Amino acid sequence: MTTKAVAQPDKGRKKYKFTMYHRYAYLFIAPFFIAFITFNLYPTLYTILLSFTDLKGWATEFNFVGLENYKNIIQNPFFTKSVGNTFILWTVNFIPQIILAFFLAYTFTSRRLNMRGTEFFKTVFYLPNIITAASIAVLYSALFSYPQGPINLFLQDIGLLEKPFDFFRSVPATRLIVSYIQFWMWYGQTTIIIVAAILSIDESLIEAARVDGANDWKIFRHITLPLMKPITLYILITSMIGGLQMFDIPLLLTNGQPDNSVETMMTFIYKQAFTGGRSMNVAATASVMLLIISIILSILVYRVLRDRTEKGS
Amino acid sequence: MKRKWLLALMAIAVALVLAACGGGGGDGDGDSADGGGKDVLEVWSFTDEAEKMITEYYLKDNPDLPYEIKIVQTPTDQFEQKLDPILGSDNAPDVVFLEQMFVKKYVESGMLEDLSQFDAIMSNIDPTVDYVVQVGTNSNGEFVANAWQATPGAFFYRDSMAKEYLGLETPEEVQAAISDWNKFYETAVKLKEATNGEVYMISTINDLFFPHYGTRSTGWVEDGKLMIDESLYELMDLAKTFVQEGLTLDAPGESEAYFAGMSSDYIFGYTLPTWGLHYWLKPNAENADTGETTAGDWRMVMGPAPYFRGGTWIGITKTSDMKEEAADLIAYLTVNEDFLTKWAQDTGDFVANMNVVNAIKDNYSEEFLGGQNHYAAFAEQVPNIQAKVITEYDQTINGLFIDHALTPYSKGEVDKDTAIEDFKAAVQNAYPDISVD
Repeated sequence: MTTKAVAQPDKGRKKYKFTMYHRYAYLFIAPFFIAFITFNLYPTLYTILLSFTDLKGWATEFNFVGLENYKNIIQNPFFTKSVGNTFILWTVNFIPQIILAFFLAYTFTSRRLNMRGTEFFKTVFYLPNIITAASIAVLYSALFSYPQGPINLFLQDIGLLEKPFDFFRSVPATRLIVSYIQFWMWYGQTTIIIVAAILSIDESLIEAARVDGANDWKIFRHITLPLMKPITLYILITSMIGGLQMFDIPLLLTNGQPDNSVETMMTFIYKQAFTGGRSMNVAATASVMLLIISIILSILVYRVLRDRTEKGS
Repeated sequence: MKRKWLLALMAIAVALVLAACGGGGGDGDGDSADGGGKDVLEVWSFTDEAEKMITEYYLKDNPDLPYEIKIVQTPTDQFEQKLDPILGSDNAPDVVFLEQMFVKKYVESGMLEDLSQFDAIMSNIDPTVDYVVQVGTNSNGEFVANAWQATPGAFFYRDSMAKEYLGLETPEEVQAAISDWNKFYETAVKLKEATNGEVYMISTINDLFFPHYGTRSTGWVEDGKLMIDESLYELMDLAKTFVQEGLTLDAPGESEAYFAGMSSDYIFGYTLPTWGLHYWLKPNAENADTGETTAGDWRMVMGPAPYFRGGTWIGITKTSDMKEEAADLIAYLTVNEDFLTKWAQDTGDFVANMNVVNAIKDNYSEEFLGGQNHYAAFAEQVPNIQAKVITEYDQTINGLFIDHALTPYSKGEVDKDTAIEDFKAAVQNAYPDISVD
């Protein structure tokens, strides 16, 4: 009897201990939430708050001004131009990037070509992404510099140009160079993701198609591509958000010049916040606009691609 | 039992992480008297001269300081972004080094301590060049930043080219040939004709910008209004003429081509201030490929207009609680004649204390300039420098003027009215509170 009487509360304590044990889980995930709240959630909310205020310059206190900042920013030609620039730069870099990445991924994974040394090429294609953007900007501004940059000298040597061409005073040339750098930095990354996606497709589907007499291209077109939709969606959305935040290359290459043609939303925000009158309110408003644009576009892309997938299946 | 220990350990770990987050920014400022360590005088600088002056001179002359000096050096282009958010808070440094392009922003900010309360500084302020004190004085008349150097500018040219192509034998003759902008232009044309366009008078139109900028009659902003001085319109026309007629290489300012010209044989001259001679011209005079050097072939003259460019001011933040110590440091660096004499002799830097300048100026013979006494030549120009045109807006508005008005107009991309309108719009965008009309 006595032993039983002792055993009973012991059991309860064990159960109690077990539930306590569960609570450790919260401790384990706590660091993420602490970091997320301090460095992510709080700044985001504070930025949204600032976009309704008049905080600028040396001021440390602010007054609320309602939607004033939003009215101003929509009418600000520098901001609207920066939105346009961002889309031009992103589109011109993304279309060739995804085409080339698919082409490379197709060649790397093709059974018929059975290429050797694909690992080597993957590494080589990925290399530009490892170099810091600042170095790349310096490199390209030296390459295309006027009037005695290497590209200018080379083009004159082979007789394509009679006199030096000032690349960074030409709007299309500067935009093309910025887009090209973005393309060159990111196509390796995109290729690797696509290769991984292709390799993860069930081998039996491809074998079945081959038994039915489909050639490589048909397999790629009708088996691989449709199964790639989720990953394409992922690439499109991450690349788009990355593109909307294009910042270091345009800023360091020409500081947005000539004629503000490579001024992006991010360089606009940066300049408003840290140069000139240091208008934190304008920068915060532009940041919120950037957030809204990102959300709308992401939803749009997601809906368009998802709907097609459903119809197809 | 084990679990309890684990829990306790983790709680401590989390607490430490949190404490580190909360207290991380507070380290190293003046009030860290806790823990029994020495007090720390925190100095923020954008130039490596700060470290050199403090470790090699100040600490050697004052070996028994009861506190430590911590020097934080940040590249110029990140300096303001890092300083602005903490200025006015407890985390702000005690002493800040400020470059001419942005010194006024801090002088007018109301965040720097009035230096006139410190006898160490004021006891020997009189020999300091007037313009240096004026730049360090805000609109309320408070003197909040002082500098050790004055930075008069000059025009440096190649002696062999002047003799060969222009027949000008001495610096006096060259100065006479470029004493105003008309003559400067005529000489540039002569040079082009004599060399079939192979030698350019200047490398970049920015070399025209700084002398014009220094001779304006008003600063960029007065009473909240943007002022575009007449001399800037003249500058735009002159720059356009130089580009269209091929009198300049038209390299972007401070670009590779700009510096490459210093060791080559197709640029006649450069517009540079005191420090430009030591930090830009001398290191770039030797051609990296051929090993040939242009050193010894350079001479300096005043050029078409007196001007100045650059300079470093030092101030104390209002939030500092080691103000006396900070003032001692500033006094040593900016008004101590023994130090300034040593510094000038060791580095060739042009100091702002005229007693020192007058005592040493006649002993200089710069081999790089063919034995010319650059110190005496700079000393003559100091009284011509005006400080009133320097405003807190200079850094941003100078950049906007060059990007939106001067460069596009000089290259013939836009007409003058468009250039000015674009410039005004850019200023309005950067400073919404300034009236631009």
